[in-house]
Amino acid sequence: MWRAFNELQVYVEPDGTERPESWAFRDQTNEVSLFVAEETDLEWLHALLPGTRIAAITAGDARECGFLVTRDPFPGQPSHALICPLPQTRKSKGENARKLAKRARLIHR
Amino acid sequence: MSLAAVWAGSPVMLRERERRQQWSRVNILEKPRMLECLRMVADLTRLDANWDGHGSAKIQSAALSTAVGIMLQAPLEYLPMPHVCPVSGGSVGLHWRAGERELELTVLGNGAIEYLAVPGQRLEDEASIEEGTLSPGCAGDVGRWLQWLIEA
Repeated sequence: MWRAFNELQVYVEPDGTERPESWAFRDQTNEVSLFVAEETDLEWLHALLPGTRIAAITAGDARECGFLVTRDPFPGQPSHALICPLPQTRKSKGENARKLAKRARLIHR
Repeated sequence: MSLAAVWAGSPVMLRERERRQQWSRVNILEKPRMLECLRMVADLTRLDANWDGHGSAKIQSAALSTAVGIMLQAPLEYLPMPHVCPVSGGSVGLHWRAGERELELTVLGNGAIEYLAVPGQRLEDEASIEEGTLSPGCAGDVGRWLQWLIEA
């Protein structure tokens, strides 16, 4: 799955490695928007959300980090999906988002 | 009574003392690290609504001013540079890494601050991660976490 997020949410590790901040996997609504990679063209995603960076995660990563994964298609975006923190894990939503961010792999254009 | 003692009690000096209590006498031009941190916070004001492509609000002024307050109070000369970033909903994220320790502060639009303190990078350290919310006006608690980071 691909998550698009603002470039300012990229953290550079002391060794120069780039990774998404945990905030890239948090949303005010508790619904984090993603796209199913197998059903999405990367160029299309860059055109839809210009200027954003994209990170790849698996649905399994999201589940193991305390998120519910669900499809959320709408007209023009059939590959749209959501991950939402499970109610029992919302007290540690920052920690779960951090775990997921550490598993994410940045896609370089 | 000495002249100095008389002068210390004069209305002019009393007003000066009040002014000093009200305003910080930090000269930020002499503190390049602080200037850089303030520049990173100021950069967030350039983001329009929907800056994340997912409908987020603009970064809220209360979050920005609280973040600036943290920077002005933080012992930046003893800390690594923080990463300042926008957070969904109009909040400000401040992320420090010192040695193996990490501190993430999410400064919310109502002045409250969420913290996430990571004591180490090993798998067994995950169990000791602390997370919580500090009420608005909790500068002392922020200072405690920054001190924890300095001790890394």
